[in-house]
Amino acid sequence: MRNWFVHIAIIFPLCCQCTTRQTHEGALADFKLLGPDSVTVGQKFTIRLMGKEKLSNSPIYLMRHATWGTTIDTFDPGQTITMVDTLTGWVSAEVLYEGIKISQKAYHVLPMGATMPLDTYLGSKSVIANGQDWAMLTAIPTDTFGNLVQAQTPVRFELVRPSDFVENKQAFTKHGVAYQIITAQTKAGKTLGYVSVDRVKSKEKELLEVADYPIDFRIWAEDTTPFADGRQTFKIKTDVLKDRFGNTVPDGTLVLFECQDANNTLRHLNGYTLEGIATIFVQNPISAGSLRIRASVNGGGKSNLFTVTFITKK
Amino acid sequence: MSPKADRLLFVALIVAVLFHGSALIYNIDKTYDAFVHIFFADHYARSWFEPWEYRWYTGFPVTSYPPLSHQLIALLSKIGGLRFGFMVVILLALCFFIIGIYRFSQLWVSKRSAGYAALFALVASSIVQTIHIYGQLPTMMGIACLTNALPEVYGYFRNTQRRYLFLGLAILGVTVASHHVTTIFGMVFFIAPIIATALLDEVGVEGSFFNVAKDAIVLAFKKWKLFLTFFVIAGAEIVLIIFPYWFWSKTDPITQVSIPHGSRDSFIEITSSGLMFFIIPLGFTLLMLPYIFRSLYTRRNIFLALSFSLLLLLGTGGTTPLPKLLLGKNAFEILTLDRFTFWASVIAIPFVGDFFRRLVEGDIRERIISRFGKKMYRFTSILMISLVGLQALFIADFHKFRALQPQSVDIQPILSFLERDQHDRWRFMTLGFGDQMAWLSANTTALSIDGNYHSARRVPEMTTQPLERLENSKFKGIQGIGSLQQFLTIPEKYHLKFIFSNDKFYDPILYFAGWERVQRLENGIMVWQKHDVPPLPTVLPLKEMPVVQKRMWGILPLFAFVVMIAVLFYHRRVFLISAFAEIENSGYNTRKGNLWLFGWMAIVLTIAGGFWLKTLLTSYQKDPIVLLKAYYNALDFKYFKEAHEYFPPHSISFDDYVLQLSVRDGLLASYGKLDSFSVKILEKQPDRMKVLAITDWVTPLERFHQEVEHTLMRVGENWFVEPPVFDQKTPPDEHIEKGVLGLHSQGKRKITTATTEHDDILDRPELYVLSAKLMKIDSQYVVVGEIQNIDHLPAHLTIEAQLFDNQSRKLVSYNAKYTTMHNVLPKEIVPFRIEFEETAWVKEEDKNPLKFNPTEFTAHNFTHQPTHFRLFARAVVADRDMYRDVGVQQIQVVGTQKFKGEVYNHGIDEMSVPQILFTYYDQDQTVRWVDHLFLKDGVRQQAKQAFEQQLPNFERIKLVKKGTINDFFVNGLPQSSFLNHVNLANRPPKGGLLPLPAQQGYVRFLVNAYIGNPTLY
Repeated sequence: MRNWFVHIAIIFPLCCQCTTRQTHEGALADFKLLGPDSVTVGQKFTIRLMGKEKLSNSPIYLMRHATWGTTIDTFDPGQTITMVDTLTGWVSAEVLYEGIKISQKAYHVLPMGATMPLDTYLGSKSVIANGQDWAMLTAIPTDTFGNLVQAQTPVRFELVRPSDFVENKQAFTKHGVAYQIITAQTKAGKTLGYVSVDRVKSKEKELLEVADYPIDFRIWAEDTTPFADGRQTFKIKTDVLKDRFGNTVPDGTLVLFECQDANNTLRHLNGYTLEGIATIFVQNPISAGSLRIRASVNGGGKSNLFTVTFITKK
Repeated sequence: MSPKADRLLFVALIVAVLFHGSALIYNIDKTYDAFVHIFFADHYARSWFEPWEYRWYTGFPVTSYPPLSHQLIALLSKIGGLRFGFMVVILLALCFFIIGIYRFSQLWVSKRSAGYAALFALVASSIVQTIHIYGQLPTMMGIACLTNALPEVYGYFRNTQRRYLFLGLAILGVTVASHHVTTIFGMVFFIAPIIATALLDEVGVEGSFFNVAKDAIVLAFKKWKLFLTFFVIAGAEIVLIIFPYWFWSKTDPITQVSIPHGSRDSFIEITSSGLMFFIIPLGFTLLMLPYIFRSLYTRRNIFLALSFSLLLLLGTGGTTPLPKLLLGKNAFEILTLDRFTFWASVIAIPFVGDFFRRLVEGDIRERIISRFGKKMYRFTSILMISLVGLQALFIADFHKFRALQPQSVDIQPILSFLERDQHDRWRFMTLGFGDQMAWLSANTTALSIDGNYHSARRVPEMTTQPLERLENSKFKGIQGIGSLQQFLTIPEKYHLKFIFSNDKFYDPILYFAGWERVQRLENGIMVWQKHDVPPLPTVLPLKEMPVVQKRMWGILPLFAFVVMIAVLFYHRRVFLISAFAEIENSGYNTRKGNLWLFGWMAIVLTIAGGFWLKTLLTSYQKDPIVLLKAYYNALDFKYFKEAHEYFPPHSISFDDYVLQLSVRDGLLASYGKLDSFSVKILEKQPDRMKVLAITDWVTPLERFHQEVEHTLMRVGENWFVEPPVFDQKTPPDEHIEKGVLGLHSQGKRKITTATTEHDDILDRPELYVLSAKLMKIDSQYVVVGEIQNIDHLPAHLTIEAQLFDNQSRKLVSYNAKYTTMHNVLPKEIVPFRIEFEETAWVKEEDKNPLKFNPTEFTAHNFTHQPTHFRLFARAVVADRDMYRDVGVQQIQVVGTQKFKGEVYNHGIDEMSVPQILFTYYDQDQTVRWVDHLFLKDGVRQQAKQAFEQQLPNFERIKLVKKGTINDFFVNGLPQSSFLNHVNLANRPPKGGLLPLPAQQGYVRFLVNAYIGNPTLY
């Protein structure tokens, strides 16, 4: 008997709660949030709660759900809030009064224009000037608050190629990124890249276009002495090593010199190019006869076979 | 008798502070262990309750050493710095020790003798050695507290007064907290004899031996409550006060690796150990042995006598098999035995004090004057006192005679280097600093991969380089974690980027392992760095400890100290006075005793004098073989003046000789140490001999075997050796001009502390792996191959190989070490060979090698057989260490198994250590094996050096797997992504291949050189 009564005592107020809630939700239609449908970051805007009743007993909260999280503000006595959003995206705003949602609204926060510094990336830092290799210049424009600019923002790329040829290209931002493929030409040198969005300019970007493997080349001897004394030295020089497009190979390119002495012993000497020319000093052989020399670059060209003859001193 | 302490005690305290204080200011830097204790103190000064120390190894807990001495230094360092703290604590410990000796002596000798003992304690050689050579602060604190606790134990077991118990246990608590070993062994060697003597004193020693023994044993049983109280509480103290230490030692895996120590040597075979660990600690006590034995072996003192004799015996180490039998093999290998000699010398102090009292104002004086007159007495007493004084001075200044540490290094430039440009985001290592590396660590928060931790655990050992090189030619390997080569080959595993090198000996190892010189700091230290090492993660692993233990560790030891101070203060009036009857008699009788004592002294001094005279007067030139050995010894230690004296007069002037030597460079000349020497006589005549000197040399990179013929001749009484013939060819040109490639990477172009911009980071140079194979030679697995730098910039390479078993489980990974070239020019092809090494000295059965072995290699123990591999090559732009003005000439194949040739240097730098790399190819021009050869001599400009090389035995080398392009990864990406930069279709045939006889394939030569003194620096 007593239990039955207790059960009723508990359940009944709960039911009343439901009915009261229904009443309150029905009041949703009574309240409206007035405000802009889209704002720009950094721009102050006001949201106003319009409704039949005057709510003055408890504070009214505005809960904003954005991509980056949730913030809660309180309405001032005039049932308005003035605020600023700094992060772009869709925002869903809800009004809470005494624990119950009474109104909601969604609005869009838009980014501002691009600002300095303009984030640009160039990779690779060097390409082979063979007309096929390529690098990519990427720009990710952001506004003052770090938001990506609006989609389809035009980004201008100006490229000054080694041949003094100037290219002007344009690309539009997609998912925040605008890029340009820089295809290598056939002249080695430095390509300078300039990216700009509206009036905002980037740092000057540098792309090195370097020579490819050298083609066949010539070698010869200089400063020779005639005697096979195993002591004096003579110079072997290459002409300027160039690739098939006429670009001089980079400094430090390793050139391998192989010699065969008259007594059938071998020599392997390494040299490297400076301004395209590799020079080594070779010691005179110990036996009279011909010394045959050939140079080559690994994976690249090779030279002619050069012969130096030595005699014995009487 | 006035109940005041003897005035000599106060004299002793003042002299102690003056003498040791002033000497210590200079000696701190030269001791073995002072800096280690200062480092531990620095840890407590920075974080008192957190025991994990990040700065050594990959971190270790400071609960591995009893903390009190370090904590006291930490507290005092807040006032005046770490050195100040150390000095104050060690001087206070010394003063407490002197007081302790005074009180301890009163148990055995009269009060006045105790005063003399206090004076002797401050000049006792073991004490001076402990303070000024070892810098062992915890040992001093331990022995100071122990000697103070002993009279309390004696008093307690005699008349059961509570005050003795409190005082004794309070002092023992501090003993445990500073040096647990002293407490534990002290129980056996000090406390047990004291208790026994107390019982004997209670029953009296008159009467028959049997009765006395019976009475004593009965009394012991009657006093069982005292035993229980004392030992239970003392035991509890020992366990609780440093409980985290016991916990750590039980749970730490690296506990039982045997550490070589000179105190375990046979002192007859290795006289330097005998000097350091027996003769010096005992010092004057050695001369006093008859007196001490006579005083000890009386009925009353018998227990102390047994303790003393046992300690003396154990201190002899490996000279006799007895210590090993007594201690058991395990304990013998783990313990260092010089502590026993130290304790023996402490026991001897009261009796030496007694001797001096009787010599200066007692019956010995009377006897000598009455028998031999005042002059003899003056001579004897002055001799005794000066021997004691000289011994103290000699030991305090020992480092002037024998360098125990490298020269003092000013650490400020190193600290500046570590502090700037985020250099402390990587680990560093020091080479050739000796124990000063602990001082460097104490002053910086940067982490070192090395540590002096094992020295902190052990009583000081003779492992610093200078002393060992002079005496035993033992080099110190990096103890604990692995061999030096492993740190250098895979530094990224430890985030090790910088090495501060104070020892030129290591330069070739560093260079050939791929390290480069950055700059020489203002203090002369060379900074080496390795490219491409990632920085330390922001969160480092630490072994967590229960909070309760951390609190105990921070509170209990200091609490024990405060309790002791409080109890001492409370009992200060009675502390220095003995409540028991003064000991008047001694076992030593001047009539017979003097003869024994002074006779013994005379014998010992004569023998010592004889040795000294012998070394002075020995001429090495009386015997030809001795002469040759002395000549090589002089060469080894670079005593060129001495070597020159062994040449016949007028054969070569000293200036010429030294000049010829100075222009030689090379692995053997500049970096070699003589390891073994033997002779073979080829021809023998009365006045001439032809001898073959067979020597083995240790260099940083390899061992070299040399056999050189010498002609020895006799002129008059002495033998001489013919000077060497220096074959220096004349270069053809007086002046060389050559274009060289100079490079410079700017790094950050904008001067800012912000992280480097993307624009300032150079791309990783692209590489192309031409071929790689997994080979098996005997039971070892090796990866060999070739790689080309296909980019336009020079590259620094790191080549890593990983082995997998047939279920694709990764077994091991390792980098290429010496058998490659680490810096590569554009379009250059270099070979590589990767061998797989185990991390050394981690397993219990591994023994630390006694000698430096440059070819130390612990092959990886494969539990599963590798079936395939992956190769990971990565590069960064390099700007130095690419000397290519060198080549090989006169190459010819000799027979079918050997070829020979010459290395020719046509550049402007002298090649200090040339290395030839041999790449052996199959018939299809893929790499089948790579070998290297270090030439033992350097090659000067426009000079050449001959070499010979055996072909490898290709039967032993078997192919396991030939790598395909899917196995190669370059700069983190698969090799296939770089193929558009490689002209594969039109690749011309490789140049520089020499065909081998009998269809064995081809070989290619490459020369790498370490330039010791580059012109471009």
